[in-house]
Amino acid sequence: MASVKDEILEYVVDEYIDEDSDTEINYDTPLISGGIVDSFSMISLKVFLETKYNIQIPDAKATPEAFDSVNNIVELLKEYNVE
Amino acid sequence: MAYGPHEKNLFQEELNSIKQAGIFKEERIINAPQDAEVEVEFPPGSPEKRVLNLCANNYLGLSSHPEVIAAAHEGLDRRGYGMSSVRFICGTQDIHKQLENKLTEFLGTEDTILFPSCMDANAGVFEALLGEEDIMIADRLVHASIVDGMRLAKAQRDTYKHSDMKHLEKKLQLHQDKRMRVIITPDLSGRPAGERRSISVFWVKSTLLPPRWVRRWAVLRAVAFQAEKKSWRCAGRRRDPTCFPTPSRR
Repeated sequence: MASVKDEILEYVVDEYIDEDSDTEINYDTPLISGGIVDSFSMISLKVFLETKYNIQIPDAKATPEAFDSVNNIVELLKEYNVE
Repeated sequence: MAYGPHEKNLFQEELNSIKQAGIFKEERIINAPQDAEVEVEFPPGSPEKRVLNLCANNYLGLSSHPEVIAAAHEGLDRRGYGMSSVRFICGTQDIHKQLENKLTEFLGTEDTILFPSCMDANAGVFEALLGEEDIMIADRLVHASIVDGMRLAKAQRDTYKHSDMKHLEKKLQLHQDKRMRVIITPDLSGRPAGERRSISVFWVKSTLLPPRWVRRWAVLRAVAFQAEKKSWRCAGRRRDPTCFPTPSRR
């Protein structure tokens, strides 16, 4: 069974990396500040997390910093008992 | 807006940081009608220069066309200046309805409503039409005014990869439990330079969208919203046939 971390990484690759791109990302790759995810398309990441883990992340918590890497997201999810 | 020294300092610091980031925009003061070439005073107070105008939305030169200017004068003579109210109080005149009816006929749509600007339309339409049970699924390169409009609405939001219909369909499936799913596509300005493929497949019946997309979305019971201000020659019953292939060839 895939870990939460791997589930998020797989989603990010599928959602934000083009099939013909050679961009590789890991758990620490900067997503927002690295230009992979912009502030508008970040809402899709939020939708995914809320749907997948059945939680509600308030906009105040869904900040570019909190979503800037897979590891940051994993830390955020711990607040919602998702581990 | 009334404010004290504390607020003024806050605004000044913000302005300073914008200037330091190199993204502060100075106004270009134009001392002439809009045209391909205009007289510009930039920075303000500098000697006037005649420059080529490559940044206006005046694609067809209508803003300084003699017939348009004459019609505007006639409108002033017949109906005066200003509406004195918003449309739903006493700001709708017969000439507004005439224009809306002509646009409806031209575009082959059910009806038309005019807004003062495209920005106003994009800011107002989602909030007016959608509720919390609905979802807006937008192309990631939609105009900033649409992003603002989506933020104002109560409906849920999601995005799909630019012009990626497979990805969009995946999102439509994901959100099939929503009351209404609205697909929001960008206009030509939202397409990267040189991306001719997307432009060439544009097709219009009631909207500027490829019919195979519209047919597919109808099957999936999705609603399409198209923000388009630059491709009017590709729209309507008298559209330019060079814009896209005819339906029989698709």
